[in-house]
Amino acid sequence: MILQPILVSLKVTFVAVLLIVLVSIFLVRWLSERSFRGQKLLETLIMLPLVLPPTIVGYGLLLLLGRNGLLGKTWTSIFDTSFIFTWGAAVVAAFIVGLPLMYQSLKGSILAIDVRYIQAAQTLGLEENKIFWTIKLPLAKHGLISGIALSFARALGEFGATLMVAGNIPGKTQTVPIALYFAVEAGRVTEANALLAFMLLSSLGLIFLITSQRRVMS
Amino acid sequence: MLMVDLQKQLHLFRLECAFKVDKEVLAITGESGAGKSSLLKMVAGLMRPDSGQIALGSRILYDEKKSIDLRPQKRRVGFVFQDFALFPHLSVEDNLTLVQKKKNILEVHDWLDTFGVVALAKRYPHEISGGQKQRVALARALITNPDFLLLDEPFSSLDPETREKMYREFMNFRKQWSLGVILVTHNPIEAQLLADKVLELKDGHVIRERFNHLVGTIITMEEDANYRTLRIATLGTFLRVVKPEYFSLGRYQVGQRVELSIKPEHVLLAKQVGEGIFASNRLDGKVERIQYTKRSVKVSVRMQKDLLLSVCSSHMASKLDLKVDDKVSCLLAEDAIELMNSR
Repeated sequence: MILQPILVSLKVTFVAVLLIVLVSIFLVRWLSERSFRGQKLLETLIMLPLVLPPTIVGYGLLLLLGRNGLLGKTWTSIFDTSFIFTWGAAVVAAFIVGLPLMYQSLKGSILAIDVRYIQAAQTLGLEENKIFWTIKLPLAKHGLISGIALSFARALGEFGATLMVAGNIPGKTQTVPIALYFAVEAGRVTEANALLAFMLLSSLGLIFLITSQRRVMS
Repeated sequence: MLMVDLQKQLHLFRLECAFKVDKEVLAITGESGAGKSSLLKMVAGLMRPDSGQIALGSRILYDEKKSIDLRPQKRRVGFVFQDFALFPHLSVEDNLTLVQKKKNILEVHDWLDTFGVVALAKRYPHEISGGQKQRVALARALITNPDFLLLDEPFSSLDPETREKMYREFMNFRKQWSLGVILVTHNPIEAQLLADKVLELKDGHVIRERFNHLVGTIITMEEDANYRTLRIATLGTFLRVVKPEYFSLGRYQVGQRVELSIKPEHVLLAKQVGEGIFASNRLDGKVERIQYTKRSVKVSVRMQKDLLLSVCSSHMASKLDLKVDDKVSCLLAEDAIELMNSR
């Protein structure tokens, strides 16, 4: 009974974190090396889900991805089905709430790199693209790893926004936190305890990973 | 030939500097905060001057008027940082292969071998000593085949023993590669030892320029109770060098090549009219440049490959009525000639 939500949670979280890593690398590369009008606004938008209540994020996504939403309408016209209440919607919710943590962690690590390594690379004739992939990113490895751990934990624990855009469909969109909520509400104590144990163990593991990375860094 | 003429408003002062460097070593000295490192960064393209021009041979690296500002990647100027800036996540070998246009491990090993560090190829920067890091950093800069080399305090982080050793290696290196080098150092002895020319910077301005550096061969050495006297052949003539009795001749021998230096204020100028001058310690040449400053006149005299700088009062200069290309004689005070590193 608890296996289904765990599998859904892992599937949603893995896909979301993969997207988070790719998008964060792209954003950090793009935003840290040039400045343009509206850059601060874009960064604020990326960071916004960090401070907004998850239900607000969920409602915002619902407006955007719902049947009459800007993106939802387009999706429906192409695929002839609603995007809301699919596991893809759960991925989007997890992505939105996890992205700021990854972005912040990676950007912080990249900006903390001793500028002399970058300058040395420039005088040695390395182009910016090569500098990013062969020097900046490897030197920001610890930030990348703790960013993955943080965003994984955040995505795994996502509840409010996921419930609003993906609902509670067992085997499809019912993730561990949602299953836990409904198990407690229905008085299924054993199931709730098992889900609690899973969440606790996975979170502890992730926090251990983050702190050991911080130790390596210092 | 690197030509630099640039201006930049820094935090505490305005940096204004103009100089030329041929295939030689120019040392830039001065206290910390004098603008030395900023100057290097501007030559490398890591900092933008407010105005001026930087040219390397026929290539213009920076020209404010023509809006030219080549990126560091396009300047072909090698830069060795004070703490060497070896990429910490890459092995010694990979530090070099990364900067190659086309990966060629044999060439990398050749370079590491030249600097005696090929045995460390697989080690990481944190596993090797300061002197070894310096060699790797030099190899890494040279493998990119730069047209010019900038060294920012490359000896300052080394312990005294290693530093002495690296000085010797640096002098050998100079013989092997005919590359123009700017060496930034806060150590005046290091500058005198390693460089052909020395510029001293203070608050962003050149306060002293020393061109006077000659190479000669010892012909005779004599000593009496009061003086040590050496005759040194240089530039097709002989110079007499007189030193006080505490000067030890033990380090020198007849036939040995030595480097001589003399401060510009100890070089007297005489204008040649016909064959009219008979004097000892006389070197003949042509006036290449005359610079008028507030209190004095600096005259650069070209003799074959060497340039001798003389400083005289403006009164003296007007009396001599010097013009560029005039034939002049430089008279060197025999007790003011310094003998530098003996080899």
